[in-house]
Amino acid sequence: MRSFIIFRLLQTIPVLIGISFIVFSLLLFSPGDPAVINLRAIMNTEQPPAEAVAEMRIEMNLDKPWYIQYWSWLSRVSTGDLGYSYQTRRSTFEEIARAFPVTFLLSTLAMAFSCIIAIPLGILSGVYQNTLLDHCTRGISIIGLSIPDFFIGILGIMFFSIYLNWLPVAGYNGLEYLILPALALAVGMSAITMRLMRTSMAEVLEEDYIRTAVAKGLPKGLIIKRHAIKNAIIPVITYMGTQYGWLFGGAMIIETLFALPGLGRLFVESASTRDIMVLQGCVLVFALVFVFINLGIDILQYLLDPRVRQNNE
Amino acid sequence: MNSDNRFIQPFFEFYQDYHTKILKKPLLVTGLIILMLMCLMAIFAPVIAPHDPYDQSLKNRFMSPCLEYPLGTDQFGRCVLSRLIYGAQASIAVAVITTSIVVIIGLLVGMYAGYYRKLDGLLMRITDIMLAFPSMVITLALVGIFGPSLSTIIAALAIPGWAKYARVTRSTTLSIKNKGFVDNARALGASNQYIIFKHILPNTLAPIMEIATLGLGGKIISIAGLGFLGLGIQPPTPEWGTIMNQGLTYLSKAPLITTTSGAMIMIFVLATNLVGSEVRDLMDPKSDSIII
Repeated sequence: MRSFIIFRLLQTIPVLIGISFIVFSLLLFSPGDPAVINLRAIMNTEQPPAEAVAEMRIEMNLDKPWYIQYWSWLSRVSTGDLGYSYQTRRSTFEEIARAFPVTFLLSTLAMAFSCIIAIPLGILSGVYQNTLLDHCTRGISIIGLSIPDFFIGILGIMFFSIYLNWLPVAGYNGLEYLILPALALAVGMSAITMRLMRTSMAEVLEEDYIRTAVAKGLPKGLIIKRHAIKNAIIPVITYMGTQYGWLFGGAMIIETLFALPGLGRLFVESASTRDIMVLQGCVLVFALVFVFINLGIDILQYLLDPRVRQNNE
Repeated sequence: MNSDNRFIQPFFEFYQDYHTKILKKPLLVTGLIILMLMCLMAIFAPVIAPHDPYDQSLKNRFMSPCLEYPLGTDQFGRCVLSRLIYGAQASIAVAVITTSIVVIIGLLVGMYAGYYRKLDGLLMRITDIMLAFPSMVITLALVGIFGPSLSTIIAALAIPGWAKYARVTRSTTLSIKNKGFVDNARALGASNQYIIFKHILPNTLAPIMEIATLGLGGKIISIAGLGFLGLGIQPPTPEWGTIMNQGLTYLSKAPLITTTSGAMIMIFVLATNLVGSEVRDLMDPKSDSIII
């Protein structure tokens, strides 16, 4: 157990190094001097004096070759110092800490909706293959996959907010503001999850142990509940974990559409205003969340699936 | 045909075998027809469109649908239908160009990684890193830093996209590089480059084409997403995502601007998904997943 976790942690190190290189290089390519951006925030002036800028450049190692710059950037970032926003003059860390909970809630709610839609339908169409129900879910999932989430969001606003007046249009002031955006995100995700659940279920139902259970005379419901679902759901959980990781960065259009003050919107705003330090911070957070959620999922899979445990020992 | 054969069947042979079967798949034919119509619409936009998409007339703002303006007019009095028809040009052109770039890079990286074991570790770690970023995040970061010009948009869409294709090509290459016909070619004195481009490449095309069809739809959504955020192809050039975003302000006054442009995106992507998943079904009837 412990050796597996240590092994997986070691595996993430090269990926983390690669991520840090990519995020760091964003700063190299960007217009604008990071020293000036930081000083504007610290000294609270539009035009920081030239001596101070020169001093700051030396302090931040901006006059050194890129690998020394990279190293000093990495040591600053590891203490949580991600620089300052060019726009608001607040620290990037503060901006991200403020936005993170909204995105976390939104993603989690979207995942929950996606589970509720996709898993029962996937199981049903796996059990009743090639029936009307199966064909319908296949049709719905292809359509669901084809509608961009922001279009679902707009249709949702038109129907639930403008026509029925049930849900708020945009903004963030409590959980009910997250229902519509989370649903918009869930539709596309559940389209894929549903098909995966169906395939996985169909495969498991052909296994020998299911045949044995049938031969033993166990009732169908019990076979499905106790033997089939338990095995079929494992790849689905793995996939949903990846989806969850992507969702943190993938919700930006929906967050912008619904004016939710989350990470995605912060990222879009920083990209539109070339607020490089915030942009960099967001990219870093998105990638880190993705890597660590995947790590968590691998460990979860190890705990859930005895076959994985055996292969890794 | 089993799933192993699908990897060793050359692309052109595949279509010779299957062109009769393609006609028996109504969904595939529907998808292909929609895609063809969309492309024809983009090419012949000047002939089909009832008006000039840039033609403003302030006295005709927000007209409801009528004979002259079948889908009404927008906030500048421009014909919504004409803008949608012209919008196909930018969306489809950028999607086709980026998908081609991504396929070429993915094929090259994947074939070399699969063929030369020494390159494999390095190239696959690079794809691991690329896959850790949601593709839209890299795209948006690049567009944010370099500004939304056409070339930046194409590059920003292509840079995160190739990793997936490289993975698939690599696994195909690994599965065929020790087959008899490759050994035979080697025994006849063929160089590695010759083997890669004459023997491995034709065999990797079929699985790549099916992902590329699905990927084309994904690119259309990404382009529209960028446009929707105001960071895509810049107005006044008509582009579906940009039109959608501009119509949003007038959603209750003129809902057709946003809904029709959204519907165009949806129809195009639906067609690519139909073609992609039905082609996959033809090649490997056992798999039914629509996962890209």
